[in-house]
Amino acid sequence: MNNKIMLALTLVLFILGLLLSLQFRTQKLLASSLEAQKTEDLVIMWRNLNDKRNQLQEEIAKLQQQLSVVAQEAEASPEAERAMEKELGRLEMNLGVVPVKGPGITVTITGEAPLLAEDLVDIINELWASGAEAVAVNEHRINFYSSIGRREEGNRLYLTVNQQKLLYPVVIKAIGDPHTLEKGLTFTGGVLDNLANLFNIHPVIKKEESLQLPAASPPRWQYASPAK
Amino acid sequence: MKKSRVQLSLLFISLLSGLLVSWQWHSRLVMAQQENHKQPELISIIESLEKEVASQENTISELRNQLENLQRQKKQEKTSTHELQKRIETLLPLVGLTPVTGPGVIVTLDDNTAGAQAAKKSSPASYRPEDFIIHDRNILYLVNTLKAAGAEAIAVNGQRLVTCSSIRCVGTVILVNSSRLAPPYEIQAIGNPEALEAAVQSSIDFTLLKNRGFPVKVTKSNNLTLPAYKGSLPAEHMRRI
Repeated sequence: MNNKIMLALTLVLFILGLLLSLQFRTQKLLASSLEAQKTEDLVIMWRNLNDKRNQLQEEIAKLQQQLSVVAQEAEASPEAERAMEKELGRLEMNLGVVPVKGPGITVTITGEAPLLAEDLVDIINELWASGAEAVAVNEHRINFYSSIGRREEGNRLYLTVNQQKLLYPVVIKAIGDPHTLEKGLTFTGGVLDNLANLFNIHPVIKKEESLQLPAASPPRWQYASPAK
Repeated sequence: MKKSRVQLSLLFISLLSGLLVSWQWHSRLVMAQQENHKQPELISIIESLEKEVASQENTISELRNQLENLQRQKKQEKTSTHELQKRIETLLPLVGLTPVTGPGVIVTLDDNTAGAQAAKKSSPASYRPEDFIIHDRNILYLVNTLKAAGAEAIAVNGQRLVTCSSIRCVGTVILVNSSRLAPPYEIQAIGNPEALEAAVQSSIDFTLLKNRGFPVKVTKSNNLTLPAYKGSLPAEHMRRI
């Protein structure tokens, strides 16, 4: 008898618990559901949402525009960077602060008859006039700042490049079109013609497919400054 | 006594259950009523707006991510192009591609027209006109002398000299950077004015010209301005190693 009652009680309490939880859920749903809201509130919500949607739409448009601008710039900039690298390379090569390679000619002068500093200045000048792109004398890369001189040591006379003496054989390397460079030096009445006639100096010219020229140290200004 | 207590509690529980069931039923009824009575269009509009806003917010966060990534990438590129630009800007003046100012000297060389006329009159048979004009090599060797004395920038009659400049003549016309020059020739050089002046004064070329009666002079200047080189820098055959 007692057992039976306990069983009934348990059953009833179980159902009660179930009902309670169901009610709680329903009640919660009811409170947050749109259906439970007053019409005026719904209209306010609708207006708010509409405003928000429009704002977000504007924001999206702005972001998309920004993105396309940035993307375009990002696309253009590798090209700009490459162009700048090319420009930098051109300047460095012209200034002679980087080693370079290319076709050209070598002019070899053995020391049997002494060469004057002026002769070397002439040869280098003629090479530039003939379209040389880079010139080196022995291991000295020639640029605007290079000077040719001479120095007496004991009873020997040395040619110098930037006050550093040159040992024979003096080998001048010039990069450019080999044919044009050779013609520039060898025309009748040209530099080498004069050397041969006047001093019996016969430099040996050789066309080369690939020459390597060393770099000069970067120049530094003490007196000059870029004009504004 | 015991039985009645149990019955009482059972009654209480049953009552409570009944109440709860009716409440539940009522709630459902209310919900159904609401659905019937409130504007279903308005609700569905709000629901679709909510969905739209949620997807917009997703889109925005995606776009922000993309933008941030791109900008980070761009910043890296910018620093590298900025560095390139800086290196180019330091090289441009040294190569000779910008105007330049500084102290230095002006070397002026002119043809010896007075000497030529005198020689023509006194001994027309042995008169050689080339003995009385400035030659390309006079300028070339003086430029070399100036460089040896530390000249940092040189211009001849407004033609700025760079690495690949040449000084030569075609006939009696002197060409610098392939531009024709006419006498008097004015070599401007920026550097230590005293050192440059001394080097010119003691050079063979200047001394010879002076001794032969050419109107040549060298003057120091505190403030020279040389133009930029305007030609090309040929680089078709060479590659950097």
